[in-house]
Amino acid sequence: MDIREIGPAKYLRSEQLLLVEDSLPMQMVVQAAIGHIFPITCVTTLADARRELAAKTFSLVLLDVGLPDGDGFDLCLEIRGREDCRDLPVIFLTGEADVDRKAHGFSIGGDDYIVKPLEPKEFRARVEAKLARRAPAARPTSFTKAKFRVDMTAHKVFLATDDGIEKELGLTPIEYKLLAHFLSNEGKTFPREELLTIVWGETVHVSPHTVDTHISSLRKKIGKYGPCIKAVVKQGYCFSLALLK
Amino acid sequence: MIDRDAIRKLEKLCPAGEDLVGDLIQLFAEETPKILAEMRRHLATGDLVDLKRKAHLLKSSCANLGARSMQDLSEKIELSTLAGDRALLQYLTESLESSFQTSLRELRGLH
Repeated sequence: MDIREIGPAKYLRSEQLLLVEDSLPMQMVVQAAIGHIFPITCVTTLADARRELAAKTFSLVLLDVGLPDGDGFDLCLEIRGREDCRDLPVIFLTGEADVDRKAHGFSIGGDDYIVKPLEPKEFRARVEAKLARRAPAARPTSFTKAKFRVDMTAHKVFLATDDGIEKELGLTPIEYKLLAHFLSNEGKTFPREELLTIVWGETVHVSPHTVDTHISSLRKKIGKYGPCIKAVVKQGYCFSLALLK
Repeated sequence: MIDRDAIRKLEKLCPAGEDLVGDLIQLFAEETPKILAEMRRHLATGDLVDLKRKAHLLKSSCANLGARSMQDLSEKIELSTLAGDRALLQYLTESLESSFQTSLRELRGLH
């Protein structure tokens, strides 16, 4: 796994960018072009990108298409399908100038498609334009799923009762992260190791079964939705509203 | 063989006191032989999926430095893995190795 924060100690702007690019020279060029303006988190695989997206909030994703563990187009589709980041701007960075590939990139929700080598001035302008169009008011601060409302600013989850009254679930920070992740990825199964990374980060080493303890507590706190968090044998955990009794 | 315009664009990017082009050429000199060796190995074992990945990776590095001949050859290898013509892939990989030596000499001469 290779995840790096690149850039100087101080930036001109605070928006955090995610660069998904396996070529070190390309990372260096991106860093030289915009690394003094924006903090950039750089990952080299789709798996690492998924972990970063689950753990942090980004303002824009720069996404290579040909990556060691798959196709950047797939990640773009996943982003567009997620409640918590479907409006996140995605710019494809690719060596593929083929018009059909470009059209495909736009058709699946890419906001821009830049063919390498980069023209640095144009690249910087395109990144800034995408960020400018994403006005602060348009950035999601909360999302709802079924009767849950996730407040991503306050890090709280509210559950509406049958008569429509919202009540805050008294979640611990770890339970909040787990539930918010499940709600924004309903129906997907996550291995314990991946949940550990999302919740505790890369640097803290705890037993994968620590997750079980927190899931157990979380199930109790979400009442009748508790059974929606299902343990999938040898795979991990999945949150599915179809399991609601 | 080298697109000087690409080098000029990179030079414009460099903050004062930094040598991005020099660093990229150094990285290119160090990493390309390793990638080429892996490509040869993938070709020998018939692993065309990984051969395609390495060609794609190399294409990106070459594009940055304006090594157009290498960029074109990398792209041809990438595309030719789909047809699986080993003889053609062998020829293209050898051409890429030869083009690397020439491109590196020219890059070092330019910077």
